[in-house]
Amino acid sequence: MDGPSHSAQLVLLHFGRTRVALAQRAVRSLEAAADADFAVATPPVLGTIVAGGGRWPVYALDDELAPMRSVPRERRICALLAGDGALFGVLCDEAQVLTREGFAAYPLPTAMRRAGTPVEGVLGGSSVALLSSARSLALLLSVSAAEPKVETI
Amino acid sequence: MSRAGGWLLTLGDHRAAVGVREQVHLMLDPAAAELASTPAHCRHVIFWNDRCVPVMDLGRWLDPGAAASAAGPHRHVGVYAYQGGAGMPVEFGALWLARPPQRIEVDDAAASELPGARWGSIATACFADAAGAVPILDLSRIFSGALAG
Repeated sequence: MDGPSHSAQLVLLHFGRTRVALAQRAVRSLEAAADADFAVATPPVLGTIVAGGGRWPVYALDDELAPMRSVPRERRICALLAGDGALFGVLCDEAQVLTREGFAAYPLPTAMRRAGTPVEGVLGGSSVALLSSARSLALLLSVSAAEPKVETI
Repeated sequence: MSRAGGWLLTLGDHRAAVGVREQVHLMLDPAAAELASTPAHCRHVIFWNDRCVPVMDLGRWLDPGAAASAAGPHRHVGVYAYQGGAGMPVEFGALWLARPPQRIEVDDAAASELPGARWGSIATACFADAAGAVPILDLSRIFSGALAG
């Protein structure tokens, strides 16, 4: 489980006006988006990035957490997330490490659960963020172990 | 013949009612947080009594083309208590209201038909007053996720 509900440290990723909190262990590294190769895009895979000994697919989410079909050039960071079978990158505007102190986690109310949503809960406190996990984001983006983890350096 | 107390609610351009004990709190100027990736008729939550309470825009659900109530100039939030069934825990949900609720008394003799098929998904009964039909909301169904899609 990489769910954030009980994790002491969270990483807050900014996708436009939407902020998504993940357990810190779900985020393998933060890379510069400029290091990604966007020469060949097959949406929702927008490019690839070489990190941690492999080449991993890169995606982007809009502020409704829908997969984007073109590269948002304003996204400067590529968060490399650890899914079940592979790593994958997600472009974001900003990434912050938070401690859970001062925040309360709530499950997403039943009335708000859409089929296929990656949102697992709500983080309330001085500000509000959505709680998700690398697994839920991988499902949303249809990341699989067979994704192009094709090259090593 | 019996009478029961309730609250008359204004949901966008629609009227509906809940039982007198179902309304537990009214926020005239709520600080609601909008959440991404949620249904158009349920985009906001409020943090109330250490709970994260969904705020349903039934006006938007009834008229999907209507503007969101949260964007309107007269937006209040009523908090309502409901149970999924006998012996189940009390849960809470909230509704966007175009104006503060009005206390009403309803007589059994005022029972009427629901004003449209869509109301059948969210109302248990209906009565009529001088201004027309007033469906009585089925809060446990409304907040059960049945409308989420």
